[in-house]
Amino acid sequence: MKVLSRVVRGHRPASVAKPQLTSLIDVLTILLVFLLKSFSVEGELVTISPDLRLPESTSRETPVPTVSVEIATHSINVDGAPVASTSGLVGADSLMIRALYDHLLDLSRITDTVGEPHEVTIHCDKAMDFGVIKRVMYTCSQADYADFSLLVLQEDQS
Amino acid sequence: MRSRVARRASSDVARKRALELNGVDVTPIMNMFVILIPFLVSMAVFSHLAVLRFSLPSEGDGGGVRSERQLPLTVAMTAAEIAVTRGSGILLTVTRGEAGHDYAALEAALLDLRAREGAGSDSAVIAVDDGIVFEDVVRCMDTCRGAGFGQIGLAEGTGLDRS
Repeated sequence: MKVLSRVVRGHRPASVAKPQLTSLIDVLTILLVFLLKSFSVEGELVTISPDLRLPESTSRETPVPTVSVEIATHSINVDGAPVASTSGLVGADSLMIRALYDHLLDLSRITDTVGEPHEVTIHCDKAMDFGVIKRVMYTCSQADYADFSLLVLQEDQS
Repeated sequence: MRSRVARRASSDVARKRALELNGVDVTPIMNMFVILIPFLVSMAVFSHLAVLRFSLPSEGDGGGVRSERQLPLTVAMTAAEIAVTRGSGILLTVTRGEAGHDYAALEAALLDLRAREGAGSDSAVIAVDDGIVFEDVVRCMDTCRGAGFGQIGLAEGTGLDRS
């Protein structure tokens, strides 16, 4: 009866609930600034294997596309294709990795640049023994891939 | 008196209602956020890649007659210490601590060395023993670059086995 009388008397319904958006806009504004800071138009020219943990460095030199030699935990890959195994390399008598050498020479033959100096970017896990890296570098230099770059992650200086 | 109070109360309510009605309309801003944020998330790069360029010392580097000062500075990394040598003489050593190699001490020592010897050559060769991990090599290269040695070569074997 009471309710009915209210309706009959034309009581206005309670005011429409409006969500408070101020804090949400604050969060979105902070997010927008953060994302604009890490926005990259160029993208990355080099793709790294998800298995690799690269070391951090203060270097700011940007990578350029070259032949990539990836020293993963179990294999050595050239441009993503496995070429040789890393097992047994540390302590081996020879510094030369024959399979890698042959593959690099084949690459030079394909591009008709045998005997010319080439650049190579080494992607290497941060926990890798230098004994493996030096054998890879020696083999690359013997195949005329002697301009080396080591791929690293930029250290955050902010 | 009573009617004046009632009038004031009703005008307060009216003012509040007007403020509510005239509040800023944030719908376009929200629309912009909804479009912009997924786009920026898709284009964001959270880890930036870089490269460290270096060369291998050429076979002719050891040849010819050179004075002690003309010989390249060698930073020899072993499991136990980092030694800075020129020719056959050891200029300084930084012993490895419990937390690893002390790169801050190495940088300070290299800066001190450069200050004593003048600017001179900016090339250094980092000689590394087997068993040193790649991360340590990169940190040593960074330390040398931080101390003003821009041209860095990488060599194997320190010849400092003191065991």
